Amino acid sequence: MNCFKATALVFVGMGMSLSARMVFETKLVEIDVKPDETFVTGEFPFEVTGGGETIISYDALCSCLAGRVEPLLPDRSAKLSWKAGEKGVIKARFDTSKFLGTVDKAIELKLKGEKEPIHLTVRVNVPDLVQLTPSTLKWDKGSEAVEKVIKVKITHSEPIKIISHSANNEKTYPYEFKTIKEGWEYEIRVKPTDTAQSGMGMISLRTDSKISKFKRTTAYVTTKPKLKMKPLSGAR
Amino acid sequence: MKGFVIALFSLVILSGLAGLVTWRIVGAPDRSIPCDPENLPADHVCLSTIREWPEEGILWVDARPRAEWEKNGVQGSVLVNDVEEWFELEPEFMMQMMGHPRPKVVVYCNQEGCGSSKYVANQLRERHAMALGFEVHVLQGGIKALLAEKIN
Repeated sequence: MNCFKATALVFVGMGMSLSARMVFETKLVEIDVKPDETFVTGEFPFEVTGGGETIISYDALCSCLAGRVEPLLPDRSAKLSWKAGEKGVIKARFDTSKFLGTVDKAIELKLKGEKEPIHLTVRVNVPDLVQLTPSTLKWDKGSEAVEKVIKVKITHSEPIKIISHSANNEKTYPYEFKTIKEGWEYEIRVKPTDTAQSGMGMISLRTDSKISKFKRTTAYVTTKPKLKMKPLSGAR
Repeated sequence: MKGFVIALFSLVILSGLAGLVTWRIVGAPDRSIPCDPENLPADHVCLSTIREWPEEGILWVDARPRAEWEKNGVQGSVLVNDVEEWFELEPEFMMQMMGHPRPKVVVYCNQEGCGSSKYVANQLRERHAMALGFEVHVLQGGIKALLAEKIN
């Protein structure tokens, strides 16, 4: 009988831990980042239901992200043990300084007794203020060496000037840099001297932007044979 | 209580024996990262699918931090991550693609959820895929899938 009681206790304990839950209002927070904004914070409010919950870890899957569980304990350390009915928030501070476009980064939350971690994702939309269209010019090997144009457009509320430009293969890819509207719109016109041979080059632009990631940008030019390998259809 | 301990001990021994018998009959466990081609996020691809593609038609892009790429990156891979400045790393990728055009680019990072491979893949796709005519894929399971393949 004692044996039966002990076994029953084990199963009751297991059942209690399984019924505990950390319920999040959302597991995805989307933030539109302002051009001059470096840090943004995603917040994931939660409530503990059922039994208690214990946080084993809350690791950011990127050095650009830092997680924090709030409220903190009186000694300012993270509160890892939560009772039923308690509410809190996991905050994810995102350093967006290296990113452009849409980026997803997650905090991986591991709870005691849970096999699968919970991913709390911060999605940021970071505007590209210096847009090159296209950023790569390509000529097929042996084709006519026609002039092609890269348009440079500033999409900021303030002007960003191109203060210098240079190329690493101007002999094959001479270019003309034209200012259409200072601080807002430019053109790079490229006409290769020869398309009989494969080749490549880079045109680097420097700007007067105060934001580090917009201080430099690069356009690419290339002459190459058409791909002989047919892309397979097996890819999804 | 003694009875319970004996019962528990017997259970552990029996489970262990059953495991050993299974090992002898079925063989070592499959440590490959599970990947169902029918249920993948957009632009993700299973390693088994990649292995059906001509190897010379693939450029591998490592989206992990530099130290990890140097430690066990795929042979011939290019480092393009979101830790270092984009404009410092992009030229090497472009030189590789323009010097030796390949129809497929496969990006991998550390683990599911790291987000780096997805970000790098999106950037390469938006900036250069159309002009240079390549497809960009994210390896499901990242480096873990590649390492598990070696173990198996």
